[in-house]
Amino acid sequence: MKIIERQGKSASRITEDFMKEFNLKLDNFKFEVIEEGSSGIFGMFNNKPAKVKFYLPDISENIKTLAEGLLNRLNVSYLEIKVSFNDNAYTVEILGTKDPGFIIGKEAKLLNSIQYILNQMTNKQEKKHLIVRVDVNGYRNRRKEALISKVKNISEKVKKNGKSITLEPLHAANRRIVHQFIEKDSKVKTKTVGEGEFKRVVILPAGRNKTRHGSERTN
Amino acid sequence: MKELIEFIVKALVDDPSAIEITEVAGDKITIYELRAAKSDIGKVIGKRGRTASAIRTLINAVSARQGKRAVLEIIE
Repeated sequence: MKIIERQGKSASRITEDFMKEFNLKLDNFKFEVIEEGSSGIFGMFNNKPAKVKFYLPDISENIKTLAEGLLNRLNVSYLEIKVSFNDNAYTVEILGTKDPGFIIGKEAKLLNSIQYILNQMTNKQEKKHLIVRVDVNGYRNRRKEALISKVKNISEKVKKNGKSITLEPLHAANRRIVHQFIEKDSKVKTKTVGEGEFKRVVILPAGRNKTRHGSERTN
Repeated sequence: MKELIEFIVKALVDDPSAIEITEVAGDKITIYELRAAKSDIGKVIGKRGRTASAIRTLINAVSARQGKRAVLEIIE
């Protein structure tokens, strides 16, 4: 919560100017009139300025409000929604839900859709590009660990046989996890093949050059 | 359901007052017709239809749980 105090001729005038300055609507913020202000008689005596305190919700609070609005309308039950900020992204955690399976959906389709919509809503409201992630009962982390352990096995195989292995098509976020993991190992490297929805990561021995397709990431 | 669509769409467009959703209830399928300001249609559809497809995923999930089917039509 950000608190801003302003002075001026009258409380309504200050509020009006404030809304214009920050491009706000009445339901976007809270305010408190500290001093009504008076212009005295003919503006000569008792000339007191008006004072208004404004309370602006911060981005995390805004995202929380949007997430709650969306989940309530999806008839999803939960105990708590937590919004945190790290790694340049906001993470919305839906905690204590009774139907995580519903929220996640097949191949995380619903969860990803909720995440996408929440991203669009937030970007529109904040007028800048922000990254919003949505997680349910730690699902994303579990998936990340599962993916890493799978990639670990595959990279061992690649090292042993000296032959590259192509993974199944993955979402950008998951491909990123693979790239970052493989980057730590100097004996293997990654490249990406395919287009759009069907982009795949190839894990190949680091010593080998000359690949026909895609971009390479080497250490 | 109408409220869900309205909540999402109004948060994405420049002119929320122009959003109009008509519910056409059928035997098995309910159709939701969505109208928006001309300049906002693109925002509702999104790049490569991504926004529209995400909204449809939400609608399908909610209605499937109620044993119903729902379709979103964006009217241009």
